[in-house]
Amino acid sequence: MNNHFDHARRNFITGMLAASGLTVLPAKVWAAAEKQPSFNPDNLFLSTLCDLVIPQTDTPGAVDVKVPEFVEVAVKHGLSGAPVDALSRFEFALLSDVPGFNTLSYQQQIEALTPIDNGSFSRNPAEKPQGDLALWKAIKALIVTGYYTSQAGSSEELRYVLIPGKFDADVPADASTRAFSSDWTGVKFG
Amino acid sequence: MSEQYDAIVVGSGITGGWAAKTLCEQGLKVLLLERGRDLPHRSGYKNEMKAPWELPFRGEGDQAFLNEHQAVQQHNIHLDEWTQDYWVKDSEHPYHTQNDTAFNWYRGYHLGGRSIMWGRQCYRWSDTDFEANVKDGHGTDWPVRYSDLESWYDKVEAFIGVSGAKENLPQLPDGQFQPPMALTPVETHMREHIAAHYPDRRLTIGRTANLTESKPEESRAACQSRYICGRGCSYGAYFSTQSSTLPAAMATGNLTVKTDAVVETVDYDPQIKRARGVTVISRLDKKRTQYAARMVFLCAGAFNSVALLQRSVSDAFPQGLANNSGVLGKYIMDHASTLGVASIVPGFNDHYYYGNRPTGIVIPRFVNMGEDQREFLRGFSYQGGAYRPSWSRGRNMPGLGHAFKENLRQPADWKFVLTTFAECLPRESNAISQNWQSKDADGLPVLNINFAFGKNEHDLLSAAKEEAAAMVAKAGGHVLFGSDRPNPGGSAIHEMGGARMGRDAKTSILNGYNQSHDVPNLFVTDGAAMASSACQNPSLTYMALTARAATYAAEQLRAGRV
Repeated sequence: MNNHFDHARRNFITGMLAASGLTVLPAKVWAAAEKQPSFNPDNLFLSTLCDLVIPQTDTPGAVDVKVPEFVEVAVKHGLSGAPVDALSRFEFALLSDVPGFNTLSYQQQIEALTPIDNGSFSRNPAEKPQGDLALWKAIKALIVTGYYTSQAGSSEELRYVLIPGKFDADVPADASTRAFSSDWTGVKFG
Repeated sequence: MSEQYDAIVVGSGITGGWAAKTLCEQGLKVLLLERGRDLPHRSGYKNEMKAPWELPFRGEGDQAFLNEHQAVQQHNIHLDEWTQDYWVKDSEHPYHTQNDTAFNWYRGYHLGGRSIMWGRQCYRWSDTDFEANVKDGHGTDWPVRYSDLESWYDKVEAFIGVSGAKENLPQLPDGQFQPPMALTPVETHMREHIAAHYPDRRLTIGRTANLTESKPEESRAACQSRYICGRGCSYGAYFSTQSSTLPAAMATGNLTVKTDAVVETVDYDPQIKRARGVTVISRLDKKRTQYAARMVFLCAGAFNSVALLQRSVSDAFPQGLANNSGVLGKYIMDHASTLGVASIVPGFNDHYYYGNRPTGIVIPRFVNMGEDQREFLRGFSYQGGAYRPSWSRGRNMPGLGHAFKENLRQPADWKFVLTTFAECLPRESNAISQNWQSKDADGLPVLNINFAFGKNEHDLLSAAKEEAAAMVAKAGGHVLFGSDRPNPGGSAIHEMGGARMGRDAKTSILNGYNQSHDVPNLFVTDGAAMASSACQNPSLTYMALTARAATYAAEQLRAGRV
């Protein structure tokens, strides 16, 4: 698989840089690698991220409902403030931060991403991810948006009712109660 | 030869529709001019029923497009991918702000104007508001009092349909209400605790122009609790020009509507000292046409009505039509708004709701009333409500994988929020003027908007933040956030003033019937006429003033006095 090869190669390059202590800027090395004709980027890395945020359970996961496709389009159009190259920059930053990320198990990847994820929402500036790892917040926002605005995310995972026909101000709820994706107040103001 | 009408109404929004309906019902032949495109009721609401997954950007909108074409409009909470076509392109309709102040001017140029996207909150003013200027000396005295408008409020509410609860509050008079929408358990809890700690403060359901009872005689169904009003409502369940005033005006057989008709000037005849009609630029082919009428009603939206007068210059009125006083364009206002408090209210997670209520709650003004006297002038009110956050909180919280998905499956803890709306004092320096050098896509000079909030507005917001936090805390809520910094001017979408009413022709543009002091067959009945802002939503008052002025104007016309 080209994808695995490319990811492995990136990790190799990153690892080499770290091991050699070279002062060459990683971006330059990677830019050179990008020009190689064998490089065939696709969204495997993005799919991995989507799966780490919203996996398949008793309802479809983010990959099942094509969230990667949405995120790619969204990034091109600047949604959530993401720069157009957010995905490649974050990928490079993460693989630099966690060499071999792509070879880890799902649970190991969750553990590797957790500090970045926690730091992204921390109020403590010292815990904020540095450099392009800070792009995680926007990418995650797009994954979440893509999933819960998909048909399955809206209406299988949550409840979507376009025309309620009435407003009942007080209905019983417990731990099994599912949120409405069509509660526009609850969505807009979050 | 130009077409001849009894009356021309410029603008088809909330007040234009009311002017057209009232004048038509008085037997006048009326031409209603709308600068934007036609937007037919029902069939024009193309995104109304769409699900997020049926939109290219899932409801978020194309951010790159928004940045390029709707740089200002996108900041308005009512704009999303479903509704964005109802908001102007700033790239086509720019304006300038001065003195490094921001002003977000939110507009909709299409049949119905902002009646399609408005917030629908309907509150009467009281004499606390109409007497404010004369009592503290800011602005000029209103030429009307509550007793002048009371019966007009009745008529307007009964026709448009306003749901609400009677509370017998002097500062927020009750009206002709349809049954109120229900409070959620958290809102009831807040109402009870606020009343227990502050006997002079009342939390009540928002009074909204959404029907809780159908009006079959007007082909309007009761609200379906979707709360997607801003997309246009095929049920006609909220008041808009399309659902309400336009069909009534059309039914008289006296109405002619022209869309894509940009009014360039109101044309003045110095011989008879009257407006003789208007000059219109076609939005589509830019050709000019003149229409004649025995009187002219300006209902283009406050700033656009003022701008129209400012560009209607002649030898008789070199500084703008009807501007002998020199105050045209001055004393503009918008409510100073901000998020007063956001809080979590624990203890209610065994309650949820079904359906979407198209209104929140309101806490009417309580400062500078009775014994609650403050250092600052005038007052503020709050609007807000309680809800349980849905999935979008996932964009702003840590979490991954199964646990994250499981968390977002449930609605979150109840939140209770209050947005502050503070009265804005009328100031001469807050003004709009013509920028003759730059033109918009229709060929009209663009506006300079010079606007800043002053110390009094900041003091009001500061007190509002403090009071909101105290009320929430006394009801057992945990305050997450509160602000006393005003959003940019215009954010309340209550921009008003610039052609104020007054008793003295030397210091005001309009008399007590929204009639020009200088040009007796010219009326301005939208927000431009406002001499003060109060702290409640103004549209209901605009409608009452319009219905009253149009009835008066028709009487005067019949009597040969305009």
